[in-house]
Amino acid sequence: MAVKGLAVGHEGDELPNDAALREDVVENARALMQTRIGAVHNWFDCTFQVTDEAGHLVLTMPFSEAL
Amino acid sequence: MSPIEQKSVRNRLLAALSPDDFAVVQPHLERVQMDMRRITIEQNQPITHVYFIERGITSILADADEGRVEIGMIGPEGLAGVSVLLGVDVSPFAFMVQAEGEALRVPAAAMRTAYRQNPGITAVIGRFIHALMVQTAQTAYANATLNVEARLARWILMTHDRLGRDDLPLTHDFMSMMLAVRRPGVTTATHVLEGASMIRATRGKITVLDREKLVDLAHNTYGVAEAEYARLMATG
Repeated sequence: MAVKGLAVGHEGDELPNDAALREDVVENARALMQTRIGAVHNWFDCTFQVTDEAGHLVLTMPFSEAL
Repeated sequence: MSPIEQKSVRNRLLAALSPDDFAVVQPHLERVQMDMRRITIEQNQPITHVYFIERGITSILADADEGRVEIGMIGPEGLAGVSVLLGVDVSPFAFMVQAEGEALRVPAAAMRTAYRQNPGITAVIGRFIHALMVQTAQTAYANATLNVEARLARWILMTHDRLGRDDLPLTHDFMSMMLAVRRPGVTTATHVLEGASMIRATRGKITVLDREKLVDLAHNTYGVAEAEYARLMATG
């Protein structure tokens, strides 16, 4: 099995500012890359996206930037 | 309050007791609500009651670096707090309701006496204790060998077995705690299972669509403990 498309999580976190958001995304992206997920063959093909409560995109980060 | 009759209980251990053995336990049974996330047995605190689960699921949780991780799951097939029957008053693990429901609880001392003095009760509950040990061993095996998607498949199957319905009220946040994986990891694994038509995921809910595919994905980490429980309970 290979993962395709966007894996959407609806359960968010409240973060105080952009710096905290970026830090949280880096932390989560690093943790994901260390997690045994068989369907993801290359994390560097993947991008982490964050939206606000209204669904507007507020951050896009390629996993390569989280290293 | 009228006494609880054996024919009305859903718990499979209580139902499996002979009428005479059930009569020993019956005066001590107290029906209690099992609210979501209620801690019924505190880690390293005296166990006051054991809980025969009637509906819902109780999880056995161990402390991990990033919080708590589930190491065992008990539903209507079992009993939470078996340590007291083995002569141990406290558990290093916490017991938390992970799916709300009901239980019939018995004071620890009364259940210990009933367990020790009645061979029929010892036999039935002893089989469950063995099955729980097998389940815990299978969880260790799963955690050591499987990726997150496969662990999630096994966990959904075990939850499905105990709740007996296809719609499971599960948030990613909660599954993250149970599997000790950060929430984006659960989100990704859920997406994989949904992409393979094993489940349908909506906000706060997982619907089981194809158990066979989930069993295949979980490899042989699912089924061994379940077969052992079925075999032992069939021996009468």
